[in-house]
Amino acid sequence: MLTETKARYPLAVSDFLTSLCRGLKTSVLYPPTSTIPSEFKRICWDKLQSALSDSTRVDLEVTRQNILTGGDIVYKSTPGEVSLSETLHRDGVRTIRIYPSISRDEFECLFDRLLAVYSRRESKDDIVNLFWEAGFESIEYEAVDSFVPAELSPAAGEVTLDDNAIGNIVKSEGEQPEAKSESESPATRDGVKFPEVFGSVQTVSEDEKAAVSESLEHDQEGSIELVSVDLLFDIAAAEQDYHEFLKVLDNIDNVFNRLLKAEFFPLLIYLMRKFRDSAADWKESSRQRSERVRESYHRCGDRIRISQITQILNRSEHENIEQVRSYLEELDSSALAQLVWMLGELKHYPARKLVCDLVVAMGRKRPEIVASGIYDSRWYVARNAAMILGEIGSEKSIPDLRKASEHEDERVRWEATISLSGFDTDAALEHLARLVNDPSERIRRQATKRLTERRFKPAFDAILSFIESESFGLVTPAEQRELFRALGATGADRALDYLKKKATKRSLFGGGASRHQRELAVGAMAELEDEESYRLLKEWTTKKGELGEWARNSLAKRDRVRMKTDESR
Amino acid sequence: MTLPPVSTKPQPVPVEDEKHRVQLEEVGQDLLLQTYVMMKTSRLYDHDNENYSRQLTRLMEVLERGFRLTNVVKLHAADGYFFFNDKRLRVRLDGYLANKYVQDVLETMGAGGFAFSEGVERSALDQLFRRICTIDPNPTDDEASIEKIHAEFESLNLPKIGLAPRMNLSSSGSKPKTIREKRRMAKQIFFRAVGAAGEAVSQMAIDKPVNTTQLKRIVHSLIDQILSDETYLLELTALKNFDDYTFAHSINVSIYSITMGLRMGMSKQLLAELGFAAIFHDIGKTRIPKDLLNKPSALTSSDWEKVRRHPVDGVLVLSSSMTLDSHVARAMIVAFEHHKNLDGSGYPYINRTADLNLFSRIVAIADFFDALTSGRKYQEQFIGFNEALVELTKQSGKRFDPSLVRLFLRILGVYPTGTLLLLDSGELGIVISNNPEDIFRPRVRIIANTGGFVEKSSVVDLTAKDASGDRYLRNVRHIVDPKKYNIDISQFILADST
Repeated sequence: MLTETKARYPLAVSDFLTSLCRGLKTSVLYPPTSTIPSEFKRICWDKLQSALSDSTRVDLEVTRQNILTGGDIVYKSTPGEVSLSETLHRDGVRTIRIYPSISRDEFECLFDRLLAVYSRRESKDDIVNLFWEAGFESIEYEAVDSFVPAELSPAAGEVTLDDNAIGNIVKSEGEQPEAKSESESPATRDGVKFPEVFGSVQTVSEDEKAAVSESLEHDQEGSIELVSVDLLFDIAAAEQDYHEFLKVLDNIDNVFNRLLKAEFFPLLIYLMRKFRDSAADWKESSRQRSERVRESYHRCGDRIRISQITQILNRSEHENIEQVRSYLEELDSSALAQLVWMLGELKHYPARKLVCDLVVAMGRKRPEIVASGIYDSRWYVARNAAMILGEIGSEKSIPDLRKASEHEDERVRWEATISLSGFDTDAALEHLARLVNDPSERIRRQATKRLTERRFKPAFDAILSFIESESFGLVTPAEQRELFRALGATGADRALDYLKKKATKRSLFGGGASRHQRELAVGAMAELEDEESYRLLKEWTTKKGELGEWARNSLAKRDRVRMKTDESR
Repeated sequence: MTLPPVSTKPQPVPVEDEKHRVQLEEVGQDLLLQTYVMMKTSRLYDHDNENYSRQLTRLMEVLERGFRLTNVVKLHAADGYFFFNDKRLRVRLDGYLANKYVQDVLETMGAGGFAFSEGVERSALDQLFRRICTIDPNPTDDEASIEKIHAEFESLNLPKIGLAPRMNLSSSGSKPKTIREKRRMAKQIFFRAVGAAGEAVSQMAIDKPVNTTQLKRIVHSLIDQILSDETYLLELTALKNFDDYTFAHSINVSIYSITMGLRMGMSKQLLAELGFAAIFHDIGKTRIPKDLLNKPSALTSSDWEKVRRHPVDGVLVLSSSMTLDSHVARAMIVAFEHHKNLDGSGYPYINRTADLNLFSRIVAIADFFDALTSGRKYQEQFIGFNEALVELTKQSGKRFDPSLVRLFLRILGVYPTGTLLLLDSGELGIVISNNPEDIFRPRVRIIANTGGFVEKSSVVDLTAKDASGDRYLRNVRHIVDPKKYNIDISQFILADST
């Protein structure tokens, strides 16, 4: 039984470490709200319990490449992956012992600290310090220091006294008058006697306990980091000399930069607010200082900082996203151009959506800033700008969207098309009419669809022109149908004449092309709203053959549309 | 002993809600206190004495309360903390004495703690404490004797009472066992800390960034040492003859501050922040010209203006050298406030809405005391340790927080470490530690008598009484000023003898 247990133990520890690594990896990949990391954590906890049931404790020895227990390798680093053993070894951990008394809370604490280092960022603490701060009760560890500061010892004193001399000192001191009582020490200073000073010190009164307890509680209210930021601004405000003031501001800017590198977003956000609020507060008293602080605020959204944040967001799909949102929400329109740029650099959809939503919200007041992106040489910036202008929906942007609709890159034109489709104005629809013969199918069809919906009469010529062109024969049957419908929707009388001729024209040689166009023409008549076309359709329904059938279909469709229109009225 | 070892899986504990947690804490604290009372009472009274009997009854009652929460009640110590059923007990302001005493006894027994099982009988408890009272609670170096004592307890086989093994929770290699090893380790930690402080300050003086990870480890090692036994590090704070006292001063202030924080019941995290902040409280002085810092004559008003700027400069130096986190934030606030007084006076003269921070109030006391006793050039002339305490007391309520001053006095005692005393036995001794049971009667290293230096210095406890128990063996005659006779006390503090 004991042999079996002994044999099982390394396997159980190996299982535990494997599940630990999986749990850590998963926690990095999935958002905090996902249940998947917690599930992996739960499995890891179970594995640990299993390992502990086979032994009085889990003993781990850490080397750079491996983790061992009782001489057996229970974890090996995998090339190309973040290594648990290397992470621990790098920070100095050499052994870890986990006792069976470990609680679930303590395990979660261990896991969280390993995760902090596993997904390591610059300037975060190392694992030994994190372990120490955790104050584990059932986990022991041993660590080495990678550094050894020089030991600074006091200067060696010269021994000037010999036995004789010291003996004489003792004698002469002994000849001095004795203290009157034990508690009356001779060293009284300015009349303050020791019993008065020290007499009651040993007793701790309830008041004293309460005072100390209150001090401790009061200290824990609020955030000490925020207090220190307030302190910096108080110092800045108190500086009489402008150059000293500038030094303090430079200092605060450096604090900001370091915090951004450490990705400490809550404090960054607080700092941004302080910049913004201070700029407002000081506007009356000192314009110069107010402007300087405002510069600091605007720097929070400059290209360098936005680039850093982009890199952070690109590292992982879900990590940091909410904190970054809070950060970006604090920026004003001065950061708009950078945010538009940022959209083109983001790899993951959640981040792009976040930034897009923000830019839309911000851009409503300053669409011209967003529009400037249309003229950027990079296609993706122009594309993003076109997309956002559509979301914003300001008519002032229509000329810029027109420009975008003429872009050499199809992807930009496509976004412009979608954006223009969102407008209900003639100006936008006129631009769409030009896109009916765009080289890109999806652009053409989108434009056609929108023009049909809006029954935009000025588009008739463009549509007709395309239908009559050689290109028409090269498009898909579905698109052809849409074009004819568009013709009907935009044409009125002119459309009727054309469609009537098309519907009744027979090709001398028969054949698909002409027949198909005849069918399309009859179908398109369902789009017409006048009585003459209705009467004609009704007349054709009595005809035998294809024409009759097409007419009946078209009429039925038209009746449905009419009914719908009547119902909606 | 009949219980299973403490390291097996804990008994099922009811779902932890706040009420349960509070109950556990209360029972744990009462058990610790009552264990201490039993240890002392069994030493003072016979076991058929009414007082002893009453205390034993109280112990049973406390255990009963524990058994209502769980069927095995465990009390064990690790790294300066006590644990009740694996939950760490808060350190209480008035609990230091009990903590220390029980820990020392456990250490002498070679044990980590006790485990009592439901149904434990009075007779078994009686037997346990009758055996404990025969142990000398003072720390010993004799590992063999510790093992012997431990084996004796094990062989008692007391039903439903178990001894927990000793446990070491902190980092950094194997624990020192003997007093000599402990003192050596304390010295190493202390001088490394001074060295690290020196390196960090030098970096910051030239506006270079500083590695806070390493500094935090240094602070953690100070805290671990103080948790284990504060006396060794406190002893080293008496060393004053460094070439550049600045760095030693910062570590001394850190040690005093951490000790105060520990006695107040601060968590390890807060202690780390406190220790860290204390090291850098004077960092702004790196911006004061050296010739001004060392100026032997009185400072002019312009000089004072430069000196009074150092708290502000300290904030700026810290914020530019390190990434802002809770440690650096604390350090900034302490650097700014450590010369601000409780009554609102002091400097720098910048109005802020925030109250004087607790950590600043702690460091201010430690800084004042250490500065006063270091005899630095622009301070007043050197005064003795206990005179400095008197000065401190005079400023209590005006400059310093009175409850913190009292706490500091309790830590240092009437005769702080390093004080040179003449005893009525005709011996000259240096105080090496305060005696928490009687702050008028410290532990003293005898260095000389009328015949000259003693060949092998020994440590005596001034609370020790003669065979009758009525008279103290030694009393303090008076304090001796070492400067008067050019006596270098550091050589005695640094001596390896136990």
